[in-house]
Amino acid sequence: MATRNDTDIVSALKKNAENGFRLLMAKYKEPVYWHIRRLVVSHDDAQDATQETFVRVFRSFLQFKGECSLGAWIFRIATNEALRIVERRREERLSLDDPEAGVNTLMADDYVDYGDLEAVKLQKAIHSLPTKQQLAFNLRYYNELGYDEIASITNSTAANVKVNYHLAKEKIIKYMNSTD
Amino acid sequence: MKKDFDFDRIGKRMPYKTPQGFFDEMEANIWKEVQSGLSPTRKRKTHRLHIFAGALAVAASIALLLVFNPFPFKKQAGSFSKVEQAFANLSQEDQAYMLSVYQEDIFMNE
Repeated sequence: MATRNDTDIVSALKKNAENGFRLLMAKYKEPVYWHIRRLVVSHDDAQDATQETFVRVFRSFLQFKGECSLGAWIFRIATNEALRIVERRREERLSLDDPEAGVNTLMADDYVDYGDLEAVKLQKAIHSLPTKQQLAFNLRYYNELGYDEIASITNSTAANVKVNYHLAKEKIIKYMNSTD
Repeated sequence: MKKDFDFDRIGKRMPYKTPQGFFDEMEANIWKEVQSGLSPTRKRKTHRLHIFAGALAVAASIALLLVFNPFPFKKQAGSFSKVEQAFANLSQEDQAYMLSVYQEDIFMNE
């Protein structure tokens, strides 16, 4: 995440709301959507959470004091939205006494290519991880964020994020090399 | 599936897809919602209903206090500043809603 671009976005948001909004969306709409999608799986849920994230970002922009990067602030909001949905879905499945609840499955969705077996298995492997390891892995591997930035998103320390990332990687390799 | 999984082989490939034109459509939806302050989803509507009900109760209490003022005149300044403070603590969205509903209220504008 280039700091200079974020500075431009912040000053554009202060000067001209629509111009700032367009710059913000150009840079963050896809990474934020994919970050949420990797956590919630369902396209519809990812769409809802992404929309909610940007509405919140835009409406509470004046509360952004620059204590962390703009990107980290946006990703923190996005992560909270995604985890809220994950928790809601888990509770729904538990209340329905779904035997698959809590089991590592990739839910049925129209926008998943189940034919790509290796890619499906990798996502299953990621979903078998504890949340902190999932976040550390996704934000490092897919978003290529630094440990410090991930720490400010997940309210952790860079050292903890590093440990979680390496644990996640080891578990994923083990899972991928296992037979189904 | 091949043994000895290699991250380099799969890279960032994911099985997830999106409908065609999805990102542009989503951006337009978000801009529409940001501009209007209205929420399209059921969840948000329910949440807003609770906010409106709360705002309505607060406004009704204020109106009653203004009509049947039990306090001496001197204390009114303090009461008004508290009301102003409470109003200032509301979100922009709720402030706009309060204003749109009560700006023509005959009791409030007496």
